[in-house]
Amino acid sequence: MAVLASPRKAGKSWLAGWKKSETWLFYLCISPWLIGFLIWTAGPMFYSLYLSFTSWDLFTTPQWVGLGNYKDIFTDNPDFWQSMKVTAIYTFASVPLSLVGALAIALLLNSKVRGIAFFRTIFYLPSVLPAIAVAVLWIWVFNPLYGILNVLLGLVGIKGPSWLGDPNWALPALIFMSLWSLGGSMIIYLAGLQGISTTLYEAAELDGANKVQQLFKITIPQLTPTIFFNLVLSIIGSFQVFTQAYAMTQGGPRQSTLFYMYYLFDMAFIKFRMGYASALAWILFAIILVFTLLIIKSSSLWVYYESETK
Amino acid sequence: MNLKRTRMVALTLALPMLMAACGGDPTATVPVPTATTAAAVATATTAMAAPTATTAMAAPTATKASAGATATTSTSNAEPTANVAAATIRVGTWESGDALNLWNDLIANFKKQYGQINISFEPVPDNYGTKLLTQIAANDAPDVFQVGDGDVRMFVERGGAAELTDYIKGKDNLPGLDTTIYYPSLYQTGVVDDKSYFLTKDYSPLAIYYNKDMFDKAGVAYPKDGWTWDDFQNAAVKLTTGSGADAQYGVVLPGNWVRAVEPFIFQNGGDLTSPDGTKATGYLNSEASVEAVQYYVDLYTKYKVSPSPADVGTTFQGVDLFQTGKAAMTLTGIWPESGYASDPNFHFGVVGLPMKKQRANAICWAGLGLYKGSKNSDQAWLFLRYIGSEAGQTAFGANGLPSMPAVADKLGISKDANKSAFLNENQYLTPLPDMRSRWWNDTTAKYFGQALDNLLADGGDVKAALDDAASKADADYAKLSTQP
Repeated sequence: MAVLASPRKAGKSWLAGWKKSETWLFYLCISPWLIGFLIWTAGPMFYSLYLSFTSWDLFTTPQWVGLGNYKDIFTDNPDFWQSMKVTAIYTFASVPLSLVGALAIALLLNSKVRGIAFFRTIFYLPSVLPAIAVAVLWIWVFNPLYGILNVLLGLVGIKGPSWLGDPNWALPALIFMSLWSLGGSMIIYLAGLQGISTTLYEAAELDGANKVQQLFKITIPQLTPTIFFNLVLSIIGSFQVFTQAYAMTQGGPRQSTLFYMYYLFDMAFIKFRMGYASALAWILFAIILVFTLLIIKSSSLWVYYESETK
Repeated sequence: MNLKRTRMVALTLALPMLMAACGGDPTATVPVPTATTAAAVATATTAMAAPTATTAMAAPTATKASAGATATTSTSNAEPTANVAAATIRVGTWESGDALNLWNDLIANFKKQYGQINISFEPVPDNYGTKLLTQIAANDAPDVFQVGDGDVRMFVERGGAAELTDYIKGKDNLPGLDTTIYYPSLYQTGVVDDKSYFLTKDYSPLAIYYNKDMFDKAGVAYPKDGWTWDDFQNAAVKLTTGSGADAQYGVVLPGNWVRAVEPFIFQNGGDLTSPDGTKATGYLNSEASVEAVQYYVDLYTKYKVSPSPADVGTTFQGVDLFQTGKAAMTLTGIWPESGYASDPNFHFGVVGLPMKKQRANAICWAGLGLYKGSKNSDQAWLFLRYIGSEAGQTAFGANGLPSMPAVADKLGISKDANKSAFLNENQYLTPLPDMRSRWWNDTTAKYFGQALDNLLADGGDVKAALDDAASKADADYAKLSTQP
């Protein structure tokens, strides 16, 4: 990547660059990561690609089945389609909501009021809590009879549903819960906001632009690289949701929270169908790759870098 | 600007690669809560299956009595001794918490007899099954390992467990084992296709606990051994009162926990699969099975005597409704018994399961076997034999039930008014359909569980639901059993 990013003078051959002692030093310095990547990431990844064409129960030697796993997944597996549906709904609901929510909070936290450090801490706090602790906490929030959510709804005369126990409400409940932990993207927005030059706002104010105009004409365009980054990150994250399903609902009730990763986990580590699960992992990889490429492709239309004009 | 753009794109491209790679092994990054610290038998059924709301309900802690009860083990030592070479043997279990005290005492006592055998004790509370399978695949598994009832056949068919027949007969100069000291149904649980592979660690049949104070208050007579489905239903209906936060339930039924629903089907003369485990159609959807499931579903949807599975999984998660006086009866194993008994103000009784055409019960069982690839299997046998001996069964009898009538007498279990109700159910244990096929969890158990989920939530036509479940189970069985 660094090689790609370092522009070379025309006429200088690749070999000449390689001979430079700096290049050697560069590879020497990154070698721990490079070797680590090859052994611990690339190696297992390609082995799992091989496994996805086999039937393997951990015990016996893997048996080659060709495209059998993929064929079965796509043609004869209602659980797979259910898990795709659940994951897609979750992604398309929670990603926009959390992007907008995190931006809104970041904008508020970027204002200069007394005690802003306190508020920043409070809003960031949920993101540093372990996911399991958050899950256990929300199990209580969602308790139909004693949970704070239904108690509050009861005060305004609404009889809340049984949330995690109700197939229609379990997934919306998890989407709602995801909005609690948006501190991660919030802090990145905040950094992005602070990187916007104040001269732009000063100039806009002199020209008579109001706050709303400043938001849409300066802040958001200037922030698009950050939005782009957060978008990619949260899409990947939401395709891989696992902890909530594992700790709170076990995919239920009635498969209404059967997230893709939970289904994969179930296949791999409960049912010990490693080949099948590897095929599922590579399908997920392909889906995430396609989404990421689409976003990157589209980014030239809506992402602005500093003084760039379009 | 191009430079910056290129970097960003490169970084972003790298992200899904890294993250999808991590995603392949969620267990590596996700902290997993310890499923339960309950008695061994409670976890036996769930150790390798996804923990469900219903099993969580059936698993309150019941191991407090463990420490004191083991003092007796050292005194009973009518054990034959063998001369074996010094070795270290590894022992694998999924247990954790207080249950480990039993193990540690037992190992210490074993070493008094066999000082030359060193025991490396390896408890794996999380993902035990996965770890054990990987160890077996890598030819590096514990010499003696624990197994739950549902996985017995899998370990035999896939080749992790060694056959015990030679050792039981008395191999070389090693002491053999008189298997008539066990309850026959218990010994048979570790037997696959007439060959012995596992010895019982501990176990429990199911039974009904009832709250005497609540029965007295409602003027309902206590249930008696040999009672019927009608008696059970009538008592449950009379003891169900109130609603919302004041609701009192007649009974806590086990939801979609297939193991605990099986007895109803057996009691009505039905079954879940064919004797060879290959077919569900004609068994799960037979007239007798449909009638039994209809009775079970009606208790929920028509008579509403039990909190719904959704309520148990959410509103009452982590709450023992029976212990807190919100339910007059509960259907479960022996594991919460010592906890209930430790409260002198909690007046409860235990009675066997109600009957229809016949009496029947299903077991929750944990056993131990020898690893086929063990290099010290003689020494491992001596340890396994010790667990299956009077000393070992006395120790583990503090948690679940012992597999030997002699030990049940010695521990006073057969005289205890409540514990003896469980013991008495041993004679009605029906061999588990779970053990007929290694694909049970992927086929009949899966689709029957889903059918129960639907029926308990929405009611509906039981016959149609079971027809559907049986045909799906059979289709998947055909697919799974023919894959290479």
